[in-house]
Amino acid sequence: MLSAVNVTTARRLGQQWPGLLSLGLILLISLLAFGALAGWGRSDVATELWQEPWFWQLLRFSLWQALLSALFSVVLALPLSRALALDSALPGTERFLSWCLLCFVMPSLILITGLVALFGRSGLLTPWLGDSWRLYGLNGILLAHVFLNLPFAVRVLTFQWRSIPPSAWKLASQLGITGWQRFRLVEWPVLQGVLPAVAGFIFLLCFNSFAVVLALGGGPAASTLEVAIYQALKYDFNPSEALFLAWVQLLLAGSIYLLFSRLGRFQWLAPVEAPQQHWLPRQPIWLIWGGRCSYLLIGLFLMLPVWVLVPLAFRADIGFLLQTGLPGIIGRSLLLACGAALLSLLLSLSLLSLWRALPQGFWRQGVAAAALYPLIVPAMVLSVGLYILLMPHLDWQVWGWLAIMLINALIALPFAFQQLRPAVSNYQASYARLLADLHPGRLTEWRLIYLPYLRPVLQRVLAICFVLALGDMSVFAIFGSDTWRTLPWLIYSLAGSYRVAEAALASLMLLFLAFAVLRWLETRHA
Amino acid sequence: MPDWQVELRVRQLAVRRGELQRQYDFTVASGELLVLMGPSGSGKSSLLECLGGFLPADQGSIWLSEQRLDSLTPEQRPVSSLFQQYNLFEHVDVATNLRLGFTRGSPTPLQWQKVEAACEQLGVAGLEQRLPAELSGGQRQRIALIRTVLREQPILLLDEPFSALDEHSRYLAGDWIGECLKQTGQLALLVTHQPLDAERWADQTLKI
Repeated sequence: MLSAVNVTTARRLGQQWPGLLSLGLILLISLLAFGALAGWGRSDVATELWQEPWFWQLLRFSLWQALLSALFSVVLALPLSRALALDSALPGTERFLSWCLLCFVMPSLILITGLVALFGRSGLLTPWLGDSWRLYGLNGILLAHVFLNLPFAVRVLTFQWRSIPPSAWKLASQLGITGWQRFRLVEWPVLQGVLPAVAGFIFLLCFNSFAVVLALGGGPAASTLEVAIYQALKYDFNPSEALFLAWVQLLLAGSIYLLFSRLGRFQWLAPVEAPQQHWLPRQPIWLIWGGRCSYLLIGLFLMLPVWVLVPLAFRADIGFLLQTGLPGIIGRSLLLACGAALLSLLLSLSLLSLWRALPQGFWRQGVAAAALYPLIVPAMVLSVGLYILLMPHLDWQVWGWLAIMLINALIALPFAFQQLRPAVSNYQASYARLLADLHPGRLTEWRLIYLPYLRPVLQRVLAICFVLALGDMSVFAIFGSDTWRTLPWLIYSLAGSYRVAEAALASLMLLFLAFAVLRWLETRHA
Repeated sequence: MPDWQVELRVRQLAVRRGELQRQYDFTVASGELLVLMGPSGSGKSSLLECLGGFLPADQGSIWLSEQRLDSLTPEQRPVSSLFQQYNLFEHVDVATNLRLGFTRGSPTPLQWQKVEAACEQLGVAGLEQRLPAELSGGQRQRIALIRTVLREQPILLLDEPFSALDEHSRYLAGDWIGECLKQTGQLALLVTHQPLDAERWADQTLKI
């Protein structure tokens, strides 16, 4: 009888060629990228940079800006999340939380244009900021990083605060526990588990941040490893230097990830449910109004950079934009993002189907590890490795689009895999026996049962992968070229040549595309 | 519907669940219903799981006429099961759930006619467009039972198929199963806690 089980596994594995193919593809790309890092190509790793003072300055700044961004994001999110969870009089909280989701996945170039329009040299708010104000440098980087990551922290923390059961509040109140004691006994336990993980994750995102630092960094004094890799490769054409910096980036980002992934788990995409009308304790008046003020201020901070684009966009010179080939650029952006999102979904579905065919244990964990490992390896490192190794054999002018799609799909893969895995597990747990009994055939199962089961999650994942790929700057920075730009790169070059109004209009278009796809896919499943 | 002329032979089959091991030895002929009775936890469901291929046996053999079944995977066994729970896909409608009993989820017109007639007979007609969550426990159980019995497999394994049914529906369902077995030559093992079920429908009773 035991042999029957083995037969099943072997036969199922035979049907898993798409999953095996995906696994092979991921391993191949990684092997090539690491091959370049290991010096297979013609370029050596410039290890002598170790002794250069600017390298240490670069490293210090990369870590420092990431640390400050993570700290500000989390600290500012705390009072706001508490208010969102506990103050039932706040208006529009659910809309605000949806907006937070959009902010977190928003293509950073939209935000950058908005920040330039508000705080740039001739920005709307600049006159009130004093003569010594400069957007470019640490100021701008922090503003942008907090804008992008604070909403993420808000969502996670609100979710945690709302997960406190009503009975805990009631019990605390009956026992006469209030104020600081209540925070320590009732609230802290739900936060404790996620705070380090959230801060660590934001730290990593900011450490790997590319577009923000490229656009708002101020020369060599305020640059990060990611940008330095790009500059070494594309401006100085110094592959050895790029390889050395990529190594450093890989080792640091990898260890940061491994460190914080042990700190705890959290949820951010799960729709934050509206609080039920259950009994909540009375708060001191200063705390209530403190929370409301933070709602107002952070709300303004998260809206203004986008709102400011609207009046600006009316002043845009449309003729000039059309000269840049805007329709073609939009089409190309859409195509690349659709391709990357679909590919990511295909990769994760095929890997998950391999994953569920395998028995629990080593091989199953191996498949999951392959899907999740792009989290540890920064996209810039993969891109640079692949670019340098294949440079002598491939014309990247011709084949760059393929690499852009592929690497963007790989970047989104861990996210897609992690979002889909619980649904696939549930499906397996509920229906494995029934399916074995009915054995409807693979195609029938996928068409009639499996895909309909996954559809709500699939649509959400597809939308978010699409938006992530739509905003991509870093992969395009390596493989793209000025002769066939994408929308974010058009915005970047417009903003760089002081065409802020045109940049604003293009940013709004990008935002519209992102928003439209998110809405479309969300209403379709509702 | 094929007319089965088969015989299920279970020989010295040792089934273990936890510490408890039981041995079974019985034969069921075409068109017959074997009722399994016994207290909870006595191993009735384990026997069905073993016949379905979900639980390996310690020793012994299972034969369907000349074909040995115990080395086959669950997918390969000529068996149709009604489990105690998770019989319906919750996210697809009743009609699709019923259709999934047939090859590629598309029954022939004749097969579908039988499904419709059975729905009529058991009092669950007109529910095709609903999702399982919109049905009562008894309706769900009858829908699942119809699919299980009308799948063209010679062996039916029914684990408490009447547990959610009132007395009237229970009689209808039991009689309908009996008719089907006589018409098609399928054979069935049925687990129940009600001695009356055995009296009314059993060709053989196995007390565990």
